[in-house]
Amino acid sequence: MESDKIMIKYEHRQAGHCESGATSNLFNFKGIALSEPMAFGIGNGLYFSYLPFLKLQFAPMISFRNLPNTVFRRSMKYLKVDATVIRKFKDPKEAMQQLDRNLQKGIPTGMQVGVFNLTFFPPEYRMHYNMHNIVCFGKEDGIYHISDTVMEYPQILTYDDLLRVRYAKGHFAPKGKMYWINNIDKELDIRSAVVAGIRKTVYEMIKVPFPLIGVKGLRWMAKDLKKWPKKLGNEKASFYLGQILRMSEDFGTGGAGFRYIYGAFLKESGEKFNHLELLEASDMMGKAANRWREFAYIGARNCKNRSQPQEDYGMLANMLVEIAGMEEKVYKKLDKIKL
Amino acid sequence: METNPTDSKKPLKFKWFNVGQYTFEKDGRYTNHIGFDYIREEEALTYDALKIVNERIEEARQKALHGKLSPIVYFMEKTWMDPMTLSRFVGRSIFAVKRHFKPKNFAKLKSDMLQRYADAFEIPVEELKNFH
Repeated sequence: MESDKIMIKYEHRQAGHCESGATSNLFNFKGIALSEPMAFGIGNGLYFSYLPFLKLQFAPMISFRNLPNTVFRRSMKYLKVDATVIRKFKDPKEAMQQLDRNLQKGIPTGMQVGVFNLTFFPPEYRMHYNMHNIVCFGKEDGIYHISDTVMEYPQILTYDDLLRVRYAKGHFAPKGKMYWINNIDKELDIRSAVVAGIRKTVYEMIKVPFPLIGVKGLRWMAKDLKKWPKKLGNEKASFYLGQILRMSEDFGTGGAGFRYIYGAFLKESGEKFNHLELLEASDMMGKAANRWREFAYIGARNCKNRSQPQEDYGMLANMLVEIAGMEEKVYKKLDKIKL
Repeated sequence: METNPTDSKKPLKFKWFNVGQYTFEKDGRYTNHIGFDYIREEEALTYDALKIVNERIEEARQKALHGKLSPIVYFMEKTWMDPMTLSRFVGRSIFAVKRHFKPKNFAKLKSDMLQRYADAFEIPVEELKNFH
């Protein structure tokens, strides 16, 4: 067991978002060029929900992403690819043995892990956040070679460390979840997959009959944002706002970052199918994303000096409402598109 | 490859992630590069958050020392948890966990429950019992 050495020839490429990056890398390993935005768009990476009644890190819970593993599962479903997802293992040792078996067969395997004990992460980023994704592609002497799309180079983890991060506790505990691609037909029906992906994203952003999800949730958050300084006092309001910005931009996954990726997806598919309306939608999405980034800048400045919070929060809230309007137009346009 | 897992044990300087960034140019192109677009001037944002966390840790420590709160709060803050996360770690409800924040209830805890808290914080039980 100790002496075996396996290194699968797996190309590590950096990406904007951990899961779509891992999905696109796994596709590339199988010899099919699928860019990260394509994987992101088809797998419904774009999402928004605002859950003020749940407190995460002492601030209202805001999610800019879908549940873990959605991007991989949905992109496999829409592209009709034969893939395996094992949701959980009762026995941690069994989970590691399955990984070893996969490596021996030459299958790079994706895993859901918790961030808190990942040794190669900078300590400032180690929150109790369990929705990170890594791909394991090699093993020697009990040390695993890991491709984490957030990092610049492939990393290594020892057996014990890997076991710990795969069985991290807390919200959305990974429980040893792992996934891999079995077989791919060379002829993928990308067109129908794009249609299905867009339809699902549009549903999730504007059609869910619940006021805290999608564009409606964005508006709700804007409404609350206006009230924060009066209701909670400047310090707490600024902490909440800082938490939103940290969630959305600091980790590169959320707000503007995601809109840029989604816009790139619309652009790419528009060029592929020569579809004018998709290109227009991509343009609109890009402008909304630029607005998001402005929102982040102004919000960060507000967090720092706290000069006239009451005015500033009102302006930020108006900005969010404006962004929500811009995005809604994009989704309504996408809803009518025929591909 | 610059990989050495033992490095992270040392206190590191603050380092930004350079991730794949997509940007939307004025002429309608999307470009892709590796870097960190957001924040250069506003770098203090995450520092601020870290500062707030550190303040809260210190406050919790003082309160625990003076017997106003139980040591659980201090260790919870120190390991960057909140009551909800901690409740998942020890397998009790949020309400029960918050009850244990009071020194009076903390003193009544049985060794089994203390062990669970100690496991969650990854410290020996003695450290939790004899906090100083």
